Amino acid sequence: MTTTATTAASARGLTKVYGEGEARVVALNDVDIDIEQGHFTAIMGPSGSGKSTLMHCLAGLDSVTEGTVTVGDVDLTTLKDKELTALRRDQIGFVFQSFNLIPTLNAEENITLPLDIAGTKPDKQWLDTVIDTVGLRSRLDHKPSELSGGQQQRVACARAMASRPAIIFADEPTGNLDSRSGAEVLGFLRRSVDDYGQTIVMVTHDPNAASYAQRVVFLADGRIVDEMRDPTAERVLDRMKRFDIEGKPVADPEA
Amino acid sequence: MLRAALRNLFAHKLRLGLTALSIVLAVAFVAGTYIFTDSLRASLDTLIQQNQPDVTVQPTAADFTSDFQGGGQTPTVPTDLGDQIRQLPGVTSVIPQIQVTNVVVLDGQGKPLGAEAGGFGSGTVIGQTWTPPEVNPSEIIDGRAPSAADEIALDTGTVDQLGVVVGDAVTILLPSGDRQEFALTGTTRLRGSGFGVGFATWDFDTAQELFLKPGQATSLAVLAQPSVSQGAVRDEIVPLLPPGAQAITGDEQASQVSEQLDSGLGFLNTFLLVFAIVSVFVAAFLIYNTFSMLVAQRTRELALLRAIGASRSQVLRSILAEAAAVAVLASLIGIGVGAGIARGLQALFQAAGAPFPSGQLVFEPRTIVVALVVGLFITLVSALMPARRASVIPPVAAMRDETPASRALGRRTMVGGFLFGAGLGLAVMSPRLAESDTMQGALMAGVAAGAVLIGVLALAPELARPATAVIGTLFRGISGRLARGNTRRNPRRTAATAGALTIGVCLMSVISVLAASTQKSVAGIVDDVIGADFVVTGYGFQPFPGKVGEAIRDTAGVAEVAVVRQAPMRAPGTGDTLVTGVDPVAIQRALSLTVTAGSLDDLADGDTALDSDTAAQIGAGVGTTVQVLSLAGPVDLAVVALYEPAGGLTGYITDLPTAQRLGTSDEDSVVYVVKDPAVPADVVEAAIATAVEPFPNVQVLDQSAFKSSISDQIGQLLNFLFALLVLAVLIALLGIVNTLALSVFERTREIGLLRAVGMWRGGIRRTIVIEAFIIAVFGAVLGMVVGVAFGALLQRILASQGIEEFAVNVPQLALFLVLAAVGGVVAALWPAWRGSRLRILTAIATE
Ligand SMILES: Nc1ncnc2c1ncn2[C@@H]1O[C@H](COP(=O)(O)OP(=O)(O)O)[C@@H](O)[C@H]1O
Ligand SMILES: [Mg+2]
Repeated sequence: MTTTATTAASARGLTKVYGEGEARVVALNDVDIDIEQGHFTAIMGPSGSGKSTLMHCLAGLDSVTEGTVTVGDVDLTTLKDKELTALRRDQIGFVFQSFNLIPTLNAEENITLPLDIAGTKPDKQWLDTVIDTVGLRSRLDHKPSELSGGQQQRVACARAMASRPAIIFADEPTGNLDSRSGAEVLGFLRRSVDDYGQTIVMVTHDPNAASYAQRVVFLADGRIVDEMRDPTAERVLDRMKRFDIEGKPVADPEA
Repeated sequence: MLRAALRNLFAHKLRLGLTALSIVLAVAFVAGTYIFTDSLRASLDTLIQQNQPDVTVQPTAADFTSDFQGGGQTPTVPTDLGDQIRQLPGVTSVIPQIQVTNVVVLDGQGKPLGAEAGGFGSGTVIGQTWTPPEVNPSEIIDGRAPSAADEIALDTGTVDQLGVVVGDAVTILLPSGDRQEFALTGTTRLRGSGFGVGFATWDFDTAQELFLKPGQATSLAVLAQPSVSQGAVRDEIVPLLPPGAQAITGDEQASQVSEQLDSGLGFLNTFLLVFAIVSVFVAAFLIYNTFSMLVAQRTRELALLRAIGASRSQVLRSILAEAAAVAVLASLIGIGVGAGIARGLQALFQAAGAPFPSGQLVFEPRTIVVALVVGLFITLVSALMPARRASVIPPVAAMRDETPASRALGRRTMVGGFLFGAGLGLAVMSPRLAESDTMQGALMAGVAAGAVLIGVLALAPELARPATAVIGTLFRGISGRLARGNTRRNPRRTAATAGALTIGVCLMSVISVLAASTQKSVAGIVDDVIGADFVVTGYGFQPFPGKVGEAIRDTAGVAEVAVVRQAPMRAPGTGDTLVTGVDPVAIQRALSLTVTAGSLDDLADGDTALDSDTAAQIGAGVGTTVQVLSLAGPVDLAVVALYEPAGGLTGYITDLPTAQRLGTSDEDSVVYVVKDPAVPADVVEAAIATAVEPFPNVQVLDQSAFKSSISDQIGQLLNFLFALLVLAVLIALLGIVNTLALSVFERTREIGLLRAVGMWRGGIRRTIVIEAFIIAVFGAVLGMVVGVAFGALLQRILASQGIEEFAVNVPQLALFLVLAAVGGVVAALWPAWRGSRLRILTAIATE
């Protein structure tokens, strides 16, 4: 791993263990990673490889068992719940696979949710830009239940961007979408990187989705096993196939 | 299938607990009511059954004096009759007894014990003689019975209140107005019960000298040989009786008292049950709501059951089986909690001044049956609708990831609208009906109010949207917006939660409006009717010595003194009542009475003035002669005037000499004082105060003090009724806890999302608390609007009964609203805490 650009976030020696005794699971095993600022990074790997866990730890949603996580120049492992919450609110944007929106708020209110929670006035111009980019102007006063799945994910993307966070984390943002809507959402994410210098980390197991990223990090059994720059869907697919053939490339040394 | 239902039940302890709690509380009130009255009954029974003489000889007037303590002569029997009875074969002993009602115990300051201006406390106890244990309902706890002229025994309650011990001196105010000191020789208590009735006990000779004339007793207790029946002894006694005396066997007396108790306690029981039923009704809302939510949450599970082949009726039965299991369990607990409620009722009545005992609690099998039936009934009825809804869940719902959308409210709204309209119609008609028959009108208004209330509750989901929007505007910021959204998300649920509170607040508002209207009307009557400058009354409205009126008459600056004397009487139209003796000239200066026929000036010896309602009832008019049964026997009275009842004057009025013949004593019930206009009021008031100083059991009130003393009493009654509604309100608040706790559970993912995008725990808590606030205020306002409207309607209907003016106690209603809001907030604290504790990842990872 070479550090060519400034890092927006990084992890050193990150280990995450769930449960104890019989139920003990090492979800992340001594992971080092740097998320480059202004880049679109994809995290790929088989199901259960620790992608979501890595994202949760990087985003301050989950505590780490060992190691450090820094966002900007703040070490997340030293923060209290309140400070972590404030950091997520001000520095981080989220797009989840499903249930991204508050059903009682309309699209516009969902977009400005983090800003409203912080009690800050939205930057009107930026908000307009975001809304136009995701193409939701005509749907602003619709409730989530009145939007299609793709539209809902685009609202979630707009929400993630609205507060101009340092990083956006997206966990399988297109997992529940048909390919056309998925392409729209991915296109929008890529554009926000290219046009506005947004940093994005996306968890996915879809090679096609990964091809929108500038860098793909491969995870298997809680370890980073490979990395690819400027991926194409075919190359990613090839790499993934090799995973399946090779089986588990890195054995868990000790439980 | 049943096993599946039961397993499901125990798998959800929290839901089980919340549902059960509401059933427990409702059942507890019903059970508590029965336990309370049964226990009271048992205490009274032990009192009646033991130490009954075989035959009691007493004045016939005792039949209608027992209900009144309003003054009048004490009816007596001659003691030498006892000597004759003692000679009869079969009689072993005759014990003359004395019992009088107007003895006042004075405290260390020389004031009536426990008396306060405007209250019911008056230091008044029953004066009695100490008798042999065979006929004595009391026993000595400490010391010994009094046996000399300067000795007295008092009941333990009074002794405790006085703070004296055996050997100390106590001061008694006698009906004559004299004070006398006695040495306390012992303390007494009614056997086998904790009745808080006060007794002052003397030996017979002392009591006779203090209250009666030589040769008199108030009753004779006759004991017979065991071989002779009570009836045989009575039959022997009857020929010896002078006119005005009667002989009653112990069994007859017991069954008479028992009958009175049955009707009295039956009334009490019904009265309390009304409030218990309100609680049950409120609880039904909660149960309905809980089961609705449980069914909604279990859609997938139930659909899965359907998918693997369970039939509709099996699903229905499984839900109802779950409900029944909860109901039985909760009802059993409710019976236990009912004991606590019974104790609470005892405390409540004691606080209100009723001398009810706090003896052992009685659990009749009937109580347990009623509790189980009530518990099962409300639970099954409340669960039926959600269960039916559950049974129509299609199997495919198991595969879908969404909770079913709230059904359209069409039918419910239609029914609600119909009830609301019909109720309004009845409400409009009821005052007209009341003109001819107040009772019927009130009944119709009650039905109307019920229909309107149920209509409003049915319409509440429709009202919820606009109402919560309005209330929600109080809160800016994202928490407010989210809370508002949550209350509108499922209007049916919001309405049911708020509706429970609506019922309680509605009833409290009705009572509040009626009380305020009564207070204002009474004040108006005082203004209109009472021309006197001062009103002199006894503490606790006990009669006071006639010397008081005489002392005031001799005071400088007093122009007119009108005394009012009363005695018990049985008369057509009014039944057991009081005859009121007045000076016709003086009373017309003190009160502006409206005379509708004849003239009060014509009121001479042997005449009576009758209030127009009673006259109409018995078809009497000026010139009619009415026979009444007085303490002195039957008397004919000629009606010379009809008047509108006012200022507490009602029924039969006579002049003072006639009243005395009918049985009034030298004691006055009220004295009205008109001052000389030339002398300032405060000078006269001070002079009167000095004049009545020797009589510590009277208070001199000017018009405004008199008004507020009446208001205070209405206020006391009001507080008593509010206390009975507290449980219904508590259940409603529990409903808010319940709804929110389950909502939080349902919204786990949403809360996780909010936390993920940066909402603090405090923000989550705030959102939930605001939601509770909105629901509580919505429910309370709805109840208040219906309650005030119904209160206004009742006031119109009762206008002919003296509640002529409408008034609203705005601060009190505002207080209700504040309390409801605070209650809602408190109810939300626990769900809010739970919500804020949810772990973000479990919340967002739930898939
Ligand atoms: N809360 C948890 N408790 C226990 N084990 C967990 C928990 N969350 C994830 N895991 C385990 O950690 C491993 C990594 O999970 P995850 O990060 O969700 O994988 P991915 O997102 O790549 O599918 C899996 O074996 C999973 O079972
Ligand atoms: Mg995952």
